[in-house]
Amino acid sequence: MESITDEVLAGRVAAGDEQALVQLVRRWESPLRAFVLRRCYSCAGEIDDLLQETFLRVYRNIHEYDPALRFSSWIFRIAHNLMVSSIRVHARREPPLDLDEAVFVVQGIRTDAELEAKDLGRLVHGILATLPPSLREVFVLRFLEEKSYEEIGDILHRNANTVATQVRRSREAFAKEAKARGLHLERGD
Amino acid sequence: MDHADRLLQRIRSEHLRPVPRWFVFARRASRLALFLAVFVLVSLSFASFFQELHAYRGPGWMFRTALAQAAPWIWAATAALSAVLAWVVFRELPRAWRLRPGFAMLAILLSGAVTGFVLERGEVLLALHRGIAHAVPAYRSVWQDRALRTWHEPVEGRLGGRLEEGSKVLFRDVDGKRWELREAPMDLPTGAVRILGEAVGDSTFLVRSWRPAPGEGKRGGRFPNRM
Repeated sequence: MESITDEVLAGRVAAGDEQALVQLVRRWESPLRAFVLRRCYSCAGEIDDLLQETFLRVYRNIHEYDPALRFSSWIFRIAHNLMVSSIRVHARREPPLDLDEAVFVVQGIRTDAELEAKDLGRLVHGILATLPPSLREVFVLRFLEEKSYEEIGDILHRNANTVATQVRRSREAFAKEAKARGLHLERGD
Repeated sequence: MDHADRLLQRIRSEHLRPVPRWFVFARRASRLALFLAVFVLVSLSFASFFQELHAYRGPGWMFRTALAQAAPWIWAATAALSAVLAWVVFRELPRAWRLRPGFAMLAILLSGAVTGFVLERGEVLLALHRGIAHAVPAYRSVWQDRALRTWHEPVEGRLGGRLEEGSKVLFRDVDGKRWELREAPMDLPTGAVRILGEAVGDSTFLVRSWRPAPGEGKRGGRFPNRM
């Protein structure tokens, strides 16, 4: 079943196949968790509820899915909307989360052997926390989720050229902050 | 129990079902209909702009008040605001976000302006006014009154008003002033009428020709009810 594409699974969910929904949930739970935690630090305490609401919306609105778009863009869009709502509710609480906790819970990296990577991760996410939320989200989608400009545009409902501009700005802001913290990035990092 | 199991449990316990396909279709159709409705508003605003601009410059349509002179620009502002609203609605259409915002806005403005121009030139706007005037007496009255008042400019040779009852030469204009008509044609109607000619005294007017009041119909004209 792993080789079946998301789009086919979505079609089966629309036809009433609950096992296809199970498969989609298991396939997307981890990527969505990572995306949300990297973007929204205040969402950590309610990440399970937010994910369940995301999958519930996928199920409830499965007929809304446009097969011309990638399923990943659609599900990220739903998670994005819920995340934005959550951020608005907790606007004054951000960021309460221990940053490296969020990162490494997501990635499952908790061993001492990975301490150096953990320190780097903490540094990266510390820099990310200084970016404005809109730029941080674009940065996460482009450089951590490795989405194309068009996919990011479909997730954020923006034109690809606008996304390209924001990616450039986010990269510049990230590099500036990294430099201020003594982390020297080479072009293309 | 993982996320998937909990989700299935919730779906079953709460008897949740996907939103029906017909509802999704209806929602999309309503968004499209809303966009089209707003676009029609943009086009009609532009059509009104062209009409008022034409009226402002055209003979016999000279506006006298500052508010009336501002009419084209009020419609232009309405068209611009409607275009912004159309753009906001347009962004909710499927995959519309893939277009550059500036390009989409420009396309709405240009297509609205072209459609508005065509509607105005093709007498569609006039037909709409006429239709409303026939259906709504109050609108007809306002329409006639405004047209008569904008026409009325004795110094420039235009009178708007009606013959006094029982007379063929005494005329009461829209401001209530009494005029004596010279060389008044015999077929001058007793209702509201527009007269072209020349003021030859304080209260004497030489009639050269006349036109029916808006909505009254023009004899043998291509557009019987044209304002």
